[in-house]
Amino acid sequence: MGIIVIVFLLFVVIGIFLYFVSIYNSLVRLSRDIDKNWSNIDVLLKQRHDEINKLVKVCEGYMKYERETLEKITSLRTDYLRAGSVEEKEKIDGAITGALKTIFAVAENYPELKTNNNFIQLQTRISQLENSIADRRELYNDSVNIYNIRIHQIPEMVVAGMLGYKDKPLFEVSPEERKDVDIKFDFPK
Amino acid sequence: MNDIRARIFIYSIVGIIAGIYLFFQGFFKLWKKRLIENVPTSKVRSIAMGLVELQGTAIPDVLLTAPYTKTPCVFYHIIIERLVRQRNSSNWVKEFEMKTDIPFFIHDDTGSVVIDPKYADTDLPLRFINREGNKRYKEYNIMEKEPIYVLGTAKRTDSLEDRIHKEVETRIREVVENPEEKQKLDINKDMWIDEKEWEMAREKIKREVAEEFGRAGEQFKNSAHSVPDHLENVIIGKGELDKNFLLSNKSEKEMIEHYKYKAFFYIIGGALLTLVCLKIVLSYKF
Repeated sequence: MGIIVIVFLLFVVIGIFLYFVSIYNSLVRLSRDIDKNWSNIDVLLKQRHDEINKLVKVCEGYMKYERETLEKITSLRTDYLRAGSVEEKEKIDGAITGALKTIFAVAENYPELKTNNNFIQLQTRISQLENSIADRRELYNDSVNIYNIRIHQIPEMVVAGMLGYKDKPLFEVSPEERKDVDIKFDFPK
Repeated sequence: MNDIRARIFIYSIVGIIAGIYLFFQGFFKLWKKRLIENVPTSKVRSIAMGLVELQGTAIPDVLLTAPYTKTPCVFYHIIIERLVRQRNSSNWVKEFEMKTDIPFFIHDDTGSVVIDPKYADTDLPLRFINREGNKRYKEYNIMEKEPIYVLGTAKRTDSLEDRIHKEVETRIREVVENPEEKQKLDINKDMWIDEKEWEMAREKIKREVAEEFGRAGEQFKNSAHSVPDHLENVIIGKGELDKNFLLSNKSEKEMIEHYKYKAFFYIIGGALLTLVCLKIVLSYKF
C-alpha cells in the first residue's frame, strides 16, 4: 500500500512540474512570437519604403508643384531607417502612411501621371503591401492580446510574475493615419 | 488457473508501461492545445515564412475520389485492418494504411495557398467503416470546399527553373546507371558515347522535362484559385525545424476542446491505469 501511495505522490509531483513547465514554455513562446510578428511587419515596411523610393522618382517628373509633399515622404523614409525603438518606428510609419494617402489623392489631378505604367504598378504594389501590413498588424495585436490575457490568468500569472513579464502595448493607429487626406495645391502664382 | 494468473500478471506489467506512456502523452496533448491557442490565425495574403495557422476552405488542385465513399475530395486516408484471433482474444491489426500526398489549396477571403499534406497529423471524422469477413475498411477524408484548419510551416519551394534543373540531373543520373538506356544514347553505334552524343541526350531530356513542367504549370495555373503572386512558390507543410503540422476539418475552438479533453483523460487515465496495474502486480503471490 505504501508503494501505491508513493507512486501516486510521484505522479502528482511530476504532473505539477510538467504542468508548470508547459506554462513556462508557452509564455516564453508567446513573448518571442510577439517580437517575431513585429519583425514581420518591419519586413513589409522595408519593402514599402523601397517602393516609395521608386514612387517619388516617378512622381517628381510630373508633380512639379508638390515638391513639399514628396520631400516630406523622402525625409520620413530616412527617419524610419534611422529609428531605434518600436514606438518611434510606429509613429513614423503612421506619418508615412498619411503622406502616401496624400500623394495618391493628389495624383488624381495629374492625368499623365495617373496613366503612367510605372506609377500604376507602384500604386498597385504599395496598395497590396498596405493590405498585408494591415493584416500583420492585426496578427501582432492578436498575439499581444493573447499574451496580455495569459499573464493575468491563474495559474500563468505565477510563472509570469517569476519571469517578470508585463503587459505589452498594442499597435495603435497614429493620428496621421486617422486624418482625412489634406490636399494642398501649391501652384506658382 | 496458473495460466490465467500469469496472463493477468503480464497484462498488468503492460498496463503499468501503457499507463506511464499515456500519462506523458497527456502532457504532449496539453502542449499541443496551448500551441493551437497561442498561435494567432493569419490571413493567406500576409502569411510570413515559419509556423502559421490558417482557417479556410479546401479547394482541389486535382479532384480526388475517395475509394470507399466515392465522394469528391482533396485528401483521403484509408486503413485496412485484419482480425487476428488468438486463443482467448482477438485484435484488429493494421494491414495497410495510406494517406494521399497530392497538394491542394486552402482558400480564405484574401486568397489561396498550397498545402502539401505529406506527413500531416490529421484529425478527421471517420466517414466510412465496413467489415467484410476478417477485414475492416476505414476511410477519413477532406471533402471539396469543406472548412479546414491548418497549423504548419510556410516555406518556399524551389523555383520552376531550379525544379527543372534538378529533374534533368536526376534523369541523367538514371540513364547513366542503366546500361540499356545508356546504350540508346550511342547514335553512331561505335560503342562509345562521345561529348556530342551526351550533349544531344542532355538537350533532349531538358526539352522533355521543360514540356512536362510546362504542362503541369499550366494546369496548376488554371486550377490555382487566386494565389497571390508573392505566394506562388510557397507551400504550407511540415517544417524542418518546427515539425508541428496539423490538418483538421474542426474549427480552432473545437481543436482546443478536443486536445483539452484528450490531455485530461490521458493524464488522469494513465495515472489510474498505472496505479491499478501496480496494485495487481504487488498483490500477486508467486
